[in-house]
Amino acid sequence: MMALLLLQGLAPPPPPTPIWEEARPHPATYRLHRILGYGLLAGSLVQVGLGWATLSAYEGGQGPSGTLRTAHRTLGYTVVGLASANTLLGSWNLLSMKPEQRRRKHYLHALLSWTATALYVTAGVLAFQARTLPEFDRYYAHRNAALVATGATLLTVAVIVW
Amino acid sequence: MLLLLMAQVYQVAGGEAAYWTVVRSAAGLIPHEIRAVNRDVSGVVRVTDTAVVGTLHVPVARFSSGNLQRDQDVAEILEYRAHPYVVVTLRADPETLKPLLTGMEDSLSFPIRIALTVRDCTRMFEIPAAVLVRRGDTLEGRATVATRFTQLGLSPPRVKGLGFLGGLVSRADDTLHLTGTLRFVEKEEQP
Repeated sequence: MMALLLLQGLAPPPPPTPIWEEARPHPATYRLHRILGYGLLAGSLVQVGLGWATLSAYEGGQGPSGTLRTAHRTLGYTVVGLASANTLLGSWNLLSMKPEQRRRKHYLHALLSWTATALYVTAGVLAFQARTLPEFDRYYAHRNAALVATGATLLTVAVIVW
Repeated sequence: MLLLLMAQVYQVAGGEAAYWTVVRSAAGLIPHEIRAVNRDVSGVVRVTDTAVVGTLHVPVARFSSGNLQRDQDVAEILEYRAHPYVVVTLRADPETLKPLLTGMEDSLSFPIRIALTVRDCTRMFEIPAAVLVRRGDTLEGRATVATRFTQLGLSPPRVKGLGFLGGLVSRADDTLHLTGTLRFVEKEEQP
């Protein structure tokens, strides 16, 4: 019977390899990118809170405490580092995907990631300038860049999990 | 003319099958459409003067929705190890295809009956207007079926739509659209 079916071309071919088993990028780098991404999102949100408290303290005239400034600065460097590393890792993952696996949302995710990273770096530079130059407006520019970067990170995550 | 139509065999040579459904996450508050594509469809359609009969095999583990965790979950729900293929058996009236197969028309719309087997459940569907278009040496066929998971003997699947830390579970609506856009080439009939 099977021979007859084979002759007629009606017999199914052997079951192919499941699509997730030949997935690119490697599941480990994909998982690392995902964990770093959620870590970046959490860090950014905490950083917004710390930045808010810092700016409020400046506006109040007494300035932030040393602990608050150190925490905000340390987390700032962490966020910039995480964003840069994860954007590079994500881009590597995208380039190693098979063309047929890529979707528009992957490209949009990458574009938003690069935008967010550029904004984080910009926010960092503005914060550095604000620290060295006594121009208060630069703190607001730093805040605005950081808020837009955080928004872009939120959007980046939303695009890919949607 | 009938001799010309006797025992022509067309083999799938590309194209895709796909399904659409709506998955709701966050306790059903956030709907989003899922479209999964499968480009590994195989099968043949045999055209004789009395019948157009074909069998298509769609590998369950080759649907790609852009989320590998979800694709694996869906394949496991469909028991891909025991039932590696969704099997589509189709049947049409050869008279309806004659204008295209004899070169009088380059495209036509025709009714078709299909039997869809998912796991061990088979359901019949009437598609009033499948489309067949001639493109050079190939024929491109398109057909769509609107059905429900429950009609195919399945519960609307709960899948890991977001896939973080084990996955935030989403549930699909009980709607399912299946579509096939397949290219066929004529092959030599086996003796």
